[in-house]
Amino acid sequence: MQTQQAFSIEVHAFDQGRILSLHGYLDASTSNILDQEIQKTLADAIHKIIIDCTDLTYISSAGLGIFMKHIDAIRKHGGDLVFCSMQKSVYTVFDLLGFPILYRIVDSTESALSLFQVGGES
Amino acid sequence: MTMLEPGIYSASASVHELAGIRAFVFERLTTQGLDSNIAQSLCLAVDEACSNIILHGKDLNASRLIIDVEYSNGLCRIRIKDNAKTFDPNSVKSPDMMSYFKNFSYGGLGIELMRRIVDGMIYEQADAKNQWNTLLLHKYIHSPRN
Repeated sequence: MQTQQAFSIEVHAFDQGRILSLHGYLDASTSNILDQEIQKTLADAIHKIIIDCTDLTYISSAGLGIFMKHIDAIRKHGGDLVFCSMQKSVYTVFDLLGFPILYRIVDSTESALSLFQVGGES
Repeated sequence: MTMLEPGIYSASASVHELAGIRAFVFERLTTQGLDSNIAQSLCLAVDEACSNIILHGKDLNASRLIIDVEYSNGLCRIRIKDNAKTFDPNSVKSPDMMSYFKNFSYGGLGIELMRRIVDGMIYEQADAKNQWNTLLLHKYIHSPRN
């Protein structure tokens, strides 16, 4: 289990949307970074958001809480949060509380992008 | 952070200590032979317990956390001591997750995660004889829940 890498976010644009690639661990000490980035995305009127979890090594309830804080507003604007490329240990935490019922979780960025293209959310 | 002696870890009650606490718990459990997936889930339970203590005790200065970890004979016992405000996680009701999702609620899931990971949580609050609140988390490794 790593302690060196804390948390950072890489941001990439796609057609009317944004990919937030999370790196490191998401706990009570780092979740505010994610909160600020999602707030910034929503302030830019972007509501199609892909959360790329390829390099997310850990999540606690503090991280889950940030997604829950924003999902209602995102969906009210016709958008969504789609998660992709989750490591097994991270998926296990989502699954423990039943979050796969609420969120779309897919295996790759390409699959996440195609969901937005098919769904046509804005 | 201070390693008081092998198996005992002391940290200030700060969210910035959480990564070190998780690394300590993971290392202690896996070096004693526990499966790394189970050790990871126990790290999450400890993180949630410590986060709650930090959150609820944040107005007390200089509060500390002392964590000790044991794994033997199929039983994990993790003891978390703190000198922050008394807070018994057993006093928090489990949320109805379907209502939680329907209402787009957020927050308050840490204790529920702990409940779903461990087999028991015993809380003893500080008193005149003992200045430390103590939360004991235990998990039976050969239980059907694994």
